[in-house]
Amino acid sequence: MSMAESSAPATVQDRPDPPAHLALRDVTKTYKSRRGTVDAVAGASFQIARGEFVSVVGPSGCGKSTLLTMVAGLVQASSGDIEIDGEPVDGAHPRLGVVFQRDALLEWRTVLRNVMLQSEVRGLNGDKHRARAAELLRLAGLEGFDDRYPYELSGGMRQRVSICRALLHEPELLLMDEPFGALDALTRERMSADLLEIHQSSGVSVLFITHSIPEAVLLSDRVVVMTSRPGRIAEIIDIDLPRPRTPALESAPEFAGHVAHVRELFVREGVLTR
Amino acid sequence: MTTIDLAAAPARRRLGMEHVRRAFGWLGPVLALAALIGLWELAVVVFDVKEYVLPPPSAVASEIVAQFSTLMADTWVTLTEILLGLALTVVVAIPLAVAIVYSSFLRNVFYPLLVASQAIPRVAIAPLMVLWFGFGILPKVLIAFSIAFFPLVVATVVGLQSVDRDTMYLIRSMRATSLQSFLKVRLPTALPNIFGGLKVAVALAVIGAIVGEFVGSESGLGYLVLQGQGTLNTPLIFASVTLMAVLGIILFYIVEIVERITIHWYFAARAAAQEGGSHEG
Ligand SMILES: Nc1ncnc2c1ncn2[C@@H]1O[C@H](COP(=O)(O)OP(=O)(O)OP(=O)(O)O)[C@@H](O)[C@H]1O
Ligand SMILES: [Mg+2]
Repeated sequence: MSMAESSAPATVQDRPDPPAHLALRDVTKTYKSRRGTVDAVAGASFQIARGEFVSVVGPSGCGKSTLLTMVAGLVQASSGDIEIDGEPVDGAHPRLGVVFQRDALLEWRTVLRNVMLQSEVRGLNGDKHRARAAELLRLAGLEGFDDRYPYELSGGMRQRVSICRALLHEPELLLMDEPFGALDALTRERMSADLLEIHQSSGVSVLFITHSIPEAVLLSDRVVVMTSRPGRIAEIIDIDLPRPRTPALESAPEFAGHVAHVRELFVREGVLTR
Repeated sequence: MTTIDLAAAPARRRLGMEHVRRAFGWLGPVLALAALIGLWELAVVVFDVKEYVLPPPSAVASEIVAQFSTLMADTWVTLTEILLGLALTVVVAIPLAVAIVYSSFLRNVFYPLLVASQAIPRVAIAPLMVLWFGFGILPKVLIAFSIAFFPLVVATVVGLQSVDRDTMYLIRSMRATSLQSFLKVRLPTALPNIFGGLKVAVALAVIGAIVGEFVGSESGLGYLVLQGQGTLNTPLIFASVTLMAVLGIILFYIVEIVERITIHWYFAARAAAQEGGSHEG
């Protein structure tokens, strides 16, 4: 919309910027049931550029999971547009990886076969992906657990398996629904560091949902702050901390500033008290 | 050091008991059964009960030995009926359950009718089966099937519908075809329920085959029971009933063993959960 753009030749004007990797415009979701309707998401709009890491923070029940399942093409939005690479979402996008709030491991499959489900279902080359699955599990600290069953794992290990599964097919867009929600602080910090590294090295775009303000600030380029009933976006905050980042950043004063800012927003919205 | 040893000792002893219990777990029931049989033998002798009223276990045992080849031949007939009835049950019930889960028409129109049909006592239509299909093996197979198949349909339907939402989302996020999501998620999820239904079906198929034999037959354990009744050969009745029970128990345990192997993950996960629960208390 700048002056230079408006005076540019027609040929340039006809070739717009590459579309955002993920774009939401006025997305709403209303659940209808016998007991009435629930406005889970009201008028959500934001974009994720290629390689960007965007977090959504908000209180329980504010529509975060609903938002994610709509982006994943698993639940139909009531109104508004969701586009991936400029194409309207219709079912799960092929280059999508999803980590669910509960790990959703299949109890009857071993760890390796749980990860391999991704390539099996997609009909990808078995040998190549078996090697990749083993490598991902090794990086996740699960070496030697290939042949174990999910019931033999701790909650943190299970969630790491589910993250490996989401990464197996080298997705371009990773959707993560509170992946560290059930973990202890130590495991959480280690997995944040790993995720930062994966994001840095693979250039994958990430939509990350969390309850934790510091976690959102540490990981993200932008934080989408949501408030509840109906779930709407209060503000989108740019986190201009330099990359590559590590959890050590949490002791930096700029970091504390961003966390305080998000907290302040929740206080203003009545979610938190001073 | 000593305090630690003192504390560890009872725990170790408990572990030892656990081993003993596991190795000799079958001993308790077997001893109890032996005691009951002994009591029975004693009671018959003490109260001088006539053999055609209640034969002592020893008479039943000697009847089994004396009539061994006949009894085995008839056991084989009944076993064949039961197995064919079960095979028909599995082949019809499981695909039918799948169809009910996937077709809203079948679920809304056919399934209620199926449930209502259970109000018909299948035993009462057994004579009709004989009328239609004669005295051969077919009516027995059909009666066994008609009694056994409904619980398996219900168990399979419930199992196939018990996939949780996140797992369904997961498989859809991988762009699975409906066949893939059936084979990789729905069917394995349903297996514990299917095995539960199958165990009920086994017990019912045994009953069905014998009811079929009662209504009209020329062989089988049920036929022998009727023979024993006609000739006041009570030991033969008891011998036949004993073999029916043995047949039922063996078939049940075969299903149980296949179940333990096929869905070992289910039992292991359940045991792990129970262990967690026992530490709470
Ligand atoms: N399938 C559904 N049918 C009806 N209402 C639903 C359904 N799924 C979610 N809701 C409602 O929509 C609202 C948002 O739910 P959602 O799961 O998106 O919240 P969330 O932000 O992910 O919460 P949490 O942080 O606890 O996971 C809630 O009020 C919930 O009750
Ligand atoms: Mg949620």
